[in-house]
Amino acid sequence: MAAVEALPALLALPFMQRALLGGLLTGALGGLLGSVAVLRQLSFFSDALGHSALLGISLGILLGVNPTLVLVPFAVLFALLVNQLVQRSRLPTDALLNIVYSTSLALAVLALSLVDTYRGNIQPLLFGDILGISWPDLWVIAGLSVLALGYLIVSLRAQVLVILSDDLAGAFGVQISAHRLAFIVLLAVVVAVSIKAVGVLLISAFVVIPACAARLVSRRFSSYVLTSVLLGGSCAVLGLLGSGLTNLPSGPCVVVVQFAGFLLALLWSRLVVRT
Amino acid sequence: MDLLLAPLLQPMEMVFMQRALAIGVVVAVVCAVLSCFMTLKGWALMGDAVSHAVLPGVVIAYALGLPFALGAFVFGVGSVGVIGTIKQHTRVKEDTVIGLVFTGFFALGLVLISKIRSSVDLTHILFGNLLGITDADLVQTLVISAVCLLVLLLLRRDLLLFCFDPTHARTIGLNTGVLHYLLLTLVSLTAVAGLQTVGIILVVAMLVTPGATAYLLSDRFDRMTWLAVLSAVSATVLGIYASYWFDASTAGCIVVVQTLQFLLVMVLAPRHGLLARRRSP
Amino acid sequence: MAELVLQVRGLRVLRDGVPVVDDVSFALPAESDTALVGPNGAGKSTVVAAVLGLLPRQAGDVRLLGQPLSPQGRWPRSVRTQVAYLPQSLAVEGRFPLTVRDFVGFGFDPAGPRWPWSGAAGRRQAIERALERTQCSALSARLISELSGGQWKRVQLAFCVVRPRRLLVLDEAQAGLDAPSSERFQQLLLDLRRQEGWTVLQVSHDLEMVRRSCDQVLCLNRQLRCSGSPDHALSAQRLAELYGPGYVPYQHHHAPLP
Repeated sequence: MAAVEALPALLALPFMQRALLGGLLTGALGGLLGSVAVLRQLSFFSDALGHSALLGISLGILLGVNPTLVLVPFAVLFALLVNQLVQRSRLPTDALLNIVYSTSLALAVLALSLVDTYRGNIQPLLFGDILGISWPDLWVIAGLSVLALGYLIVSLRAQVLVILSDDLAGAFGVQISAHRLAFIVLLAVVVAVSIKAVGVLLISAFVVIPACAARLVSRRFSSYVLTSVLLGGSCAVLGLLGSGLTNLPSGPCVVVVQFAGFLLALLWSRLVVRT
Repeated sequence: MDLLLAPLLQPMEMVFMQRALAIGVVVAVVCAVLSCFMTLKGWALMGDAVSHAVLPGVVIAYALGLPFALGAFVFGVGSVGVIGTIKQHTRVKEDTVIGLVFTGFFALGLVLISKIRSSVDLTHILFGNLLGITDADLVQTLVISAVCLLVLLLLRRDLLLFCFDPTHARTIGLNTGVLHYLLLTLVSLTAVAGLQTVGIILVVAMLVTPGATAYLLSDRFDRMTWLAVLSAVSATVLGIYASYWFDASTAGCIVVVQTLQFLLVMVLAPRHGLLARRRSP
Repeated sequence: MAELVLQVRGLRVLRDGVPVVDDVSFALPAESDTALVGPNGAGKSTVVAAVLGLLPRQAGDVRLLGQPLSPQGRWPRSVRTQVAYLPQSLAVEGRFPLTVRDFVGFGFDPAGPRWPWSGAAGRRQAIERALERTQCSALSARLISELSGGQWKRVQLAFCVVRPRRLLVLDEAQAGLDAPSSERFQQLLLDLRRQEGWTVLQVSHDLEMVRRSCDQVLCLNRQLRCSGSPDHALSAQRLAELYGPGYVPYQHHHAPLP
């Protein structure tokens, strides 16, 4: 196959190497945070965060500042505000999140349509532009991965107990609000940093799909997190290679591979693992 | 007087504006009515899912020269079938499965789009193209909207009971399974209609916000429906005008106005608004 | 004079500006078993939550082994690991990747940041011992989402017993258990309580069980209506005062079925 023969040449290109490394790290990071986020039912929250990131980017563009610099503080602020809103409002959470993210997206689209250079060309923002990833970006993602991993390892007991029950965790000494805050901030930063790889529309897949797949086949919590990380990373790499060979957009390709991975895990769990 | 009315009347002289307003209003009405049922059923997430999941269907339909509605129907209902199957065979929570499936389907749609259509059309599918709508799309949207509206009006009592109290509905002999899939089909078809005005990504706003707004203003369903329609239509008209005058994205303007309405109502509503609740403990 | 493990004075908790618990004071002597009874909505769970530091309180002094609970709901370090809690129901949704052994292990670990692989030896033994004592050894490798209601409750008891504690707080712990599981659980609780020297505070609707096994009864309906021994606090007159007129308690005579 011509495509497979092109593989070595493709891998030799520096931007492709950076892209693969970036994809691997982003996928792994998504799997790591996703393992906890999915169990804490924050999957829709990360979806809303991702979509709203477009607003952060467009604000950066409007203000003439590098969008990536605006995105992280915007994402964190946004996450904290939405968290407060969800906790205080009596509307059901998913309706609220829906309204929040549609509005941010609409505002973003509006704003961008007023800026000439971005008319009709927000696709890299929507679907990811992993091929444009730079070494500074990679260092940031790597540093973030170490931070996230460290935090989750050290607070493992707190994470699991909070997932089971806020009351149980609180009664046994967990600082619930501090951990909730920390996790949301971490999630926001990870989403913000992953936009480059996956784009705004599909970021929730990075957080949700590998974790769901891992959950089907793991018994111990530590192996669950590890499987999620490995699945996230490997699907990202495979998806990126596929997208490079077929010239399809990177984000969607990775998500399709992740979904296929989930279906495989589903099959495996029915045939092999005893529930 | 002329000076005041001029900004309103001048765009109306242009054919594309007339068409945009007409089709926008029709779609707004359908979305608003459906939105009331969605709010009562608590289907904000489901609506989001279905509207994203229809994308591959729309793209495949285009590639095969078939009407969008068919593709949307197949994939809309199909995605729900997939969600149901996965739920049955795993013990993953429903919300997570929904999110998983619709992102997967949406990604598939995006992959297909990049192989089949040009990037300009992609933007139109994602964000609507109200001011540039073609005759063929216009006819298709009108037909879909009319059909959906008719079904909603004819079956509104049954659907209302189904949304409110499915158990009771079953005991008086309504087939809740059929109603469930009927409602999902309506969402898929309305998503296709909304594709033209605000695009697939923002259509969920039209399916959720008018209902949520009206819900805060009224406790009676009939009145709620009228309020939702009023909200959606006014948002659409204002949005179209705003997009014309500011030369900004139509979809963006419509959704932003829609949300502003919601925010105003959320704060000021006489009984359920934030201010009202603060006044009476 | 018996040592007082828990002392509560003047507890007051507001919700939406209305007091749901008002001027509640009581004390738990060491190794006693105290029941908190009252009609639905009386504030029992609120008292429990306030004592555990899960809810902010508007007034009241709460002391565990003499140490005060901070206004933010944190115990001082010296007594922080002395409280155990068994909630009414701990629902586990879907397939949860956590084994019984790992779960009980978290009961052993102290709160706060730590490397998961520190303190390995004593930990493993404590977990095995706890599982043994709650008759859960056979379940150690199972996922917590695979357990029946009764098994899950016993595992939660193992979580409480894996480390020595002074106070055990139960919030309708037997809700949802069928009769045999409930009996088994009750017996296990009694045995463990004697072995561990636990002081117990439990919210219960099972007045028969309370009458049989508790040392002290607190009758709560926003305020403490009555407190004392079961015979005193659970007399027909007192119960009518607590639950309202028209409440007629029956004493079941537990004779076996013919």
